[in-house]
Amino acid sequence: MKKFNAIIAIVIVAFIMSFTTDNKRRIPKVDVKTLDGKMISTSTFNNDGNPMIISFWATWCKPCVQELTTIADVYEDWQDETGVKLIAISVDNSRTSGGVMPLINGKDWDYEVYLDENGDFKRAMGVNLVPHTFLVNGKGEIVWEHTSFTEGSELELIELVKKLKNGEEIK
Amino acid sequence: MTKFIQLILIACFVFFINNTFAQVLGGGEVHGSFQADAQYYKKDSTIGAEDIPENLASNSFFEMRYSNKNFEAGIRYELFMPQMQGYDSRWKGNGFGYRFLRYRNDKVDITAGNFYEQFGTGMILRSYQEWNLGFDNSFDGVRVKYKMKALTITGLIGKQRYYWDLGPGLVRGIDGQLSVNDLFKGFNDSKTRVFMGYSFVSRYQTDQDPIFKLPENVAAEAARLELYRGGFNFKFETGWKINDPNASNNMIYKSGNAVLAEFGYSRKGLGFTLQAERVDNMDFRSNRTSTGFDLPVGYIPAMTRQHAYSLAAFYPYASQANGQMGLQATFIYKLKKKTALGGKYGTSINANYSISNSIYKEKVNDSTTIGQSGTLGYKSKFFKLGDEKYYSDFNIKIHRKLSRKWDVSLMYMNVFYNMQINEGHAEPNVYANIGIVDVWWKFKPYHSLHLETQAMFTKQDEGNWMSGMLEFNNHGFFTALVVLYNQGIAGHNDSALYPFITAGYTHKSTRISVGYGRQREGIVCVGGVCRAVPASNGLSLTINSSF
Repeated sequence: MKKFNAIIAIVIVAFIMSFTTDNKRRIPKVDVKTLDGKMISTSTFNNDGNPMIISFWATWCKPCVQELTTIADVYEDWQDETGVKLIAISVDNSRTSGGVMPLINGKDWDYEVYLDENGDFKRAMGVNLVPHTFLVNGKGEIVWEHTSFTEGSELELIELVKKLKNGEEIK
Repeated sequence: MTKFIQLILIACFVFFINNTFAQVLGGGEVHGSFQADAQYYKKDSTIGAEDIPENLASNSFFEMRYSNKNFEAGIRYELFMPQMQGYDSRWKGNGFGYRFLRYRNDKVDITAGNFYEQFGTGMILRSYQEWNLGFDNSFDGVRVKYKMKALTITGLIGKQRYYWDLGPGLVRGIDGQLSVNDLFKGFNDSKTRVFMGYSFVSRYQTDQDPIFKLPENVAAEAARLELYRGGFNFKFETGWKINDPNASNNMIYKSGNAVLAEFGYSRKGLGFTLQAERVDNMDFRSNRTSTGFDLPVGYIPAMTRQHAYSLAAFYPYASQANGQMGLQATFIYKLKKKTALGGKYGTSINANYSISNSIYKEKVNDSTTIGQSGTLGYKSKFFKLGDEKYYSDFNIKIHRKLSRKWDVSLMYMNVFYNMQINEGHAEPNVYANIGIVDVWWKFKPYHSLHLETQAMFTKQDEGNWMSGMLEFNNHGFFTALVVLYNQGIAGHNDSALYPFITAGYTHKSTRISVGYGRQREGIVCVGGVCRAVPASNGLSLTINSSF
């Protein structure tokens, strides 16, 4: 029995080893809702080879709104310099999702916003705390992620976006 | 000798698997996340913190997902040893509380095991998880989704998670979501978008009641419509449930119904939403004898704003699935930058008002009291207001960036809170006024100082409260001091002080924080994140990470 267990353990380890090589992380395929009611798959997220920022936020999350407001002030410059696109995924449930549209427009944000009301995309991306921001390179691979936001964090983010635009690797 | 041969065979096997499987299974990914909260408690009678024999409590989870092309598998290990204070004692224990297998392609999506699902707004079916609130009503069963061009059909069957067990009720559900624009070729490119949906859910539970004859299959249906055109949107959902005598409605045979409507208009710089809700006897669970947070199948949202400031969130409205009428209006506006009123960078105004009330109830006949068990309970007129106000909340927040280094927010809130309906004890209703000043000073790149002062004035409950928080941030490092003070009411309750100090560090997707002191349960926004926290007293540690 012991030997059998040992073999099972080795098989499992081998199994796991076999796919931890070259773990280029792609965006999982999940359905999210556009602000005009359509369900679309996250596999359609694309920015023509330019970097993308995917930011999970909620109307009740002050640091999230702060992050998106801070970036909104410099978003146009970021777009001119790097062609980056920010996709904001709201994890507001059906209680607070009604507040997403007025907030986006009321604060004058130019992002692509989607609703993830029951947290399907959030779960698939391993997001537990918001804000949680991901950086996706031109090939659709997730190369960096960060949780929490404090003033100044956006400076680090734009540096990384510029690196990606210049074709550098991010560690 | 045999051992040596076995070792060679195993090595070959590993090598073989590594190469062939890697090609066959090539493209597989493993990702996951974990959170560990540990709390060391000190006994504290002022805040009602009990002594726990183990001294240390911990809530932790570790979840992992393996995905490869169209296949996905996941598992979550959870540990409550014991559960932290504020979490239900039935959580105590450890094990795999969530596991699933999934296959999906462009047309079909099949899940076996645990899953979360929502039909429409969730009115008659919503399973979700809120780890920080100790809530998880996942389904354990099978779900199949079939996607066509305009129509998506979802079917599911399963039982709901009940701590480390499953609820007794068997839930079956089917939902159809139709995109009317994709149905008619001419309508495809129209600026008006129309969506319709219908869902049917049935719960089966055996009748073991000695007194009443209860329906073993309880059905609920809901229909919904969504319209979008330009800056306008309109959403509507109505649901109903057949007779479902249960513990929360005092075993009455009245059927249930609910209506949710939302109208919104927004354009650049302005957003407005108006929502209305009426719910009558719609508490729908996997177990008719369950109450509180146990086993809800449907989700009836509170028609109120979810606040992020601790004193604003002090008196939260508890949604009454068995009877409530509510209205909520939200208005957000940005005063343009470089104008006299707007200032250099613009000013944001965010106003919100909500009110919730009881529904009108009258006797069924002269010999039956309202809500008498075993009867039809009561009659209700749809548009007539009940005579009890449950909650009202007016709040307005103004935010302005003064310069590149200074950022200010001011908020005022007025709240009415019906103590009996929200907390279940006969104390006077609360009328409170709250003022908040929130200032950020970004004195150097990557460095900031954050001051948040809040004050709540009320003559009821425990009297006035004041909160001050000073937070320092430097790259990924943060530290904060939070002092919460309750003035108390002479002859009713003594004053109390809740000092709390915390520090932490965030590096990419890993965040560690430690805290010491007294904390009231509620929502806390410190160190760059907002989380719901339970009451605590002593030393606490939290670790979050994703990979």
